This record gives sequence, C-alpha cells and structure tokens, in this order.
Amino acid sequence: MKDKIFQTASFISAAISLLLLVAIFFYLLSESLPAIKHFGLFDFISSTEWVEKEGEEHYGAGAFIIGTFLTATLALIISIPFSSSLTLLITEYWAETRAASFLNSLLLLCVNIPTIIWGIWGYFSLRPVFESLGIGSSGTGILTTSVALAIMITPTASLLSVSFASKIDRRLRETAYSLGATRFDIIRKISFPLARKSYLISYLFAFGKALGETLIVVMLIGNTNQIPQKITDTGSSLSSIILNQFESAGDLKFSSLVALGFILFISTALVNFTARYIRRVKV
Amino acid sequence: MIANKNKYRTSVKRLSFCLVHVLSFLALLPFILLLFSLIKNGKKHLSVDFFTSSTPSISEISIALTGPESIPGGILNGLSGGFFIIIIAVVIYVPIGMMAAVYFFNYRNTKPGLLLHYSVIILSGLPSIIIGICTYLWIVRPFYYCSAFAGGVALAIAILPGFILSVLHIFEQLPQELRVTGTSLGLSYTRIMLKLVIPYSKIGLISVVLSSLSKGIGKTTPLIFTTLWVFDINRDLFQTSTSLSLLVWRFFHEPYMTDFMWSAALLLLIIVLTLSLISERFYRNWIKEIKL
Repeated sequence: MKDKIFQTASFISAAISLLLLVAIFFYLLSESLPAIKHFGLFDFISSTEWVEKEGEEHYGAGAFIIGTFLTATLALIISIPFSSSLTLLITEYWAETRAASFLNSLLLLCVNIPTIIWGIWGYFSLRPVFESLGIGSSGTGILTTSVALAIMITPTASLLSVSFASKIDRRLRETAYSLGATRFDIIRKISFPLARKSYLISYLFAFGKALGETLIVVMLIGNTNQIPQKITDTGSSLSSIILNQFESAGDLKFSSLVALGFILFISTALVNFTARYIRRVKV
Repeated sequence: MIANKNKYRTSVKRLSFCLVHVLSFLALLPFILLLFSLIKNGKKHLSVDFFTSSTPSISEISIALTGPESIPGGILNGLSGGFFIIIIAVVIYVPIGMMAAVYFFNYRNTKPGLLLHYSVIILSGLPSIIIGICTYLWIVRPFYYCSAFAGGVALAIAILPGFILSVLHIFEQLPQELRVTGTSLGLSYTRIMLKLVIPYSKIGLISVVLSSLSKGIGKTTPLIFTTLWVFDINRDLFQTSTSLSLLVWRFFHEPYMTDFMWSAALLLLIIVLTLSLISERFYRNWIKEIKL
C-alpha cells in the first residue's frame, strides 16, 4: 500500500514536467492565435514590419527572428575556439592535475554567474570598448551582443564537453603515447574523433542558451526594430522585443508578443531535443 | 625526410600547445575583469545602511540630489522579498524534483520514463522569458497583480528541470551494489529509496539544493514578468514584491542609481558564488566518501 502511494507520487512528480511542457505549448499557442489569425502565419513570420500606430498596426516577426539567430550563431562561432581550448586544457594538457580540477571549479562558478551581472558588465565595461572602436551605435549592436553572449556560453559549453570527454578510456591514450604519438596527434586522432558527438551536443545546448538569453541582449543589442544589414548594426531579438514591449501592450500587440514567444519556444525546444536525440544515437 | 616530418610534427605540437593556453586564458579573462569591475565599483556603497534600509523612492532621490548628501537607502526590501520568493520556490521544487528524480532513477529506460526524461531536458533548456510569460498568463493575469507568490512559482518552474537532472546525477553516482543488495534482501521499492538510496546520498542532495539555490537567486527574467517591484518591505506574499536581482535590473534603468546597482550586483554575486562554492565543497567530499 505504502509502496503504491510512493510510486504514484513519484510518477506524478515526474509527469509534472511533461504537463508543464504541454501547458506552456497550448497556452502560448492559444494566446498567439489572434495575432496569427489577423496577420496569417506565413505573413507574421516573414513580415519584418513592426508598426504600432493605432489603426495601422502591423506586427511581423521576421526582423526579430533574424536578430535572434544572428546573435546566437555569431556567439556560438566566437565561443567555439575558446570553449574547446578550455576543454582540451582540462581533459588533455592538464589532465588529472590539481590545476585542471581548479579550472573546472572556476568554470562551475562562471556558469553560475547570473546573466544580469554579465549584462551590466557588458553594458558598462564591454560596450565602451566597442564604442571607442567605433562599432555599432555608441557601442551597442549585434556584434557586441554576440561577444557578450559568447562570454556567457563559453563556460557552459566547455564544462559540458569536459563531462562527456572524461568518459573516454584513458588506456587508448596511453597506448598512443607508447607508440610515440604527440599530444596533438592524440587530440586529432583519438580524443576528437571519439568525442565528436559530445562536442556537438555541448555546442547545441550552448546555442539554445544563447537563443533564449534575454537580459544581456536587451542591454546590448540597441533595441531597434530593423533587420540588421551588417553585424555592427543594431537590432532586436525575439526575447528583447518581448521584454521591452510587454508592459505597454494592447490586445493585438500582446498576442503578437506571445506569438514571438511561441516561435522562441519552438526553436529552443527543437535545439534541445536534437541535442538530446543525438546523445542517444551512437555515432 | 623523416627528420623533416618530425620537425613539422614538433612545431605543430608546440603551436597547438601555445594556442590552447592563450585561448583558454582569453576565455577566463572576462571573468577576472568582471570580478574586478564589480569590486571596484560596488565596494564603496556597501555599508551597514545598505543592508538595513529600503530602496529610496523617486522623491527621496530628488531631494537628496539637491543637497550635498549622497542618496540614502539600501536594498533591504530586495533581500526580504527575494528571501520570500526563494522560500516559496524551494517549497515547490524541492519535493517535486526529488520525487521526480526517484522516478527517473528507477524507470528511466521504460517508454514513459524516456518520454518524461525528454520533456525534462526540453524544459531545462527553455528560455526563462518563456517561463515568465507563462506564469504571467497563469497566475498574474487572472488576479490582476504581480506578487511574490507568482514570482516563486515562476522561479520554481525555472529551476525544477535542472534540479531533477542534478538529483538524478547524484543518485547515479551511488554504487550499483546498493540497490542490488536492497533488492536481494527483499526490501520494497519504497524502502530501498527511503532507507538506502536517499540516506546514502544525503550530502550530495544538500549540495544539489545549494547549487540550485545559487542558480535561482540570480534568475531575473521570470521575476520581471511576475513580481514587479516595490520601495518598501512587503510581508504580504500576494502583493507586488521585489528581489535583489530585480533591484539590479531596476537600478540599471535609473540614472543616479548606478552606484546602488554595482553594490547590489556585487552582493548578488557574492551570495551566488558563496553558495556554489559551498555546494561544490559538499559534492567533492561526498564523492570521495562514496568512491571509497
């Protein structure tokens, strides 16, 4: 009897996450239906206009989708060399030394730094650097945002790949050493091919994190409703426009904002699902 | 020929060695700079007053600006509000997360287990702004005002999936023999979990709770949609409230409050880093104990 209750309780607790996911999906969908009906799904996604004038209201997601994916992709590209170096340092060069475990703890601390702190640091310390270089409008813009996002996701990506890479059998490496391989040979011929999938998964998770990041983006992207023509332009992302306009939103605008949230939800869910799926499939 | 090839290999090796070290150093540089600038800008405002009085209202700020004195006030409302919010969140996510992890520990490889595990993973990757919007739709809009309660719920939803995965990770560190022994002794499922698995992983679980707290305290986006902000200390859980991270966000938008913002951010960082350091300490000790 007690067993049954315990088992049911644990099942229900686990089922709550699925329930939440389904509830989020349906609430976002039903709230965004008015906007999608009003503008049409395809037009809403492809339109790049955001006109708030009464009577001529027109809301489109295009510019923000581009802004989101542009910043996140750039952030990922910038962070890959850095995070993979950190991974290599921990798993290869400094493997099993105190320094490596210290570095690992340091990265754990970095991961826990709240994004709002990265945001204000980015605004007050990183932005002036870009400003003095003449990039973006007084330092804000896609490039600044991407650099800040890259700084934020680098510890996440490297920690994840460290946790996967440490599962590789050490004997393989030692055999290679005894055959006269250099460290670089080992990385290229053994560690990397074996850990290829884990790198991919880590970067996908990091990419998902960058996609949904709000505060850093709001503070640094410049918040203009335009399609960025080059990476030094200002723009907006899905999350930043939602945060900026949420308080002042009327019915149709509110619905459009939720629809933007729905797009963000679908894209991050897809990215994370893919990452989880790859992990299951043996490559 | 061979000498040439060896030379090439050595130089590639050296080059990659340098590159990895330099890039890693560059990757850690922002962290050091962040600490530096937070301490430099934040330390001057950290006084007793900062912890014992509430945020100044706009009129107080404008009065202070006309006189020679600095702006009075502190962040006590953020500390107290944040405390209530995090307590509400803990009450929700800790029991649910533990029970869910117990389920996954036993049934992860069954079909429903796999489905639920996928949903936890997807949920854990959701941007916190989505959780903010949904909690707004579920709790704030039907009652027409933001509250500490809504903030707590939003925070709980934001932390829950990560918490489940971490608890599961703790359970999986335990030696396999523990469960086998329990089963062979004829213990029931409930007893194995309650008398063997959970007691053995107690320290690990404490470390997970601490690390989830350190993640939760810093989360701001879900609270922006659900908690808003007040000048005073608020004991009513169903009225608008505020938290330390929300105060940082608020001060960011107000001119003249930049000093407050740095100090609040520094305090937030100190709390978060202390919690995660303690949590890591616990985890390391526990792992050592388990592997013996």
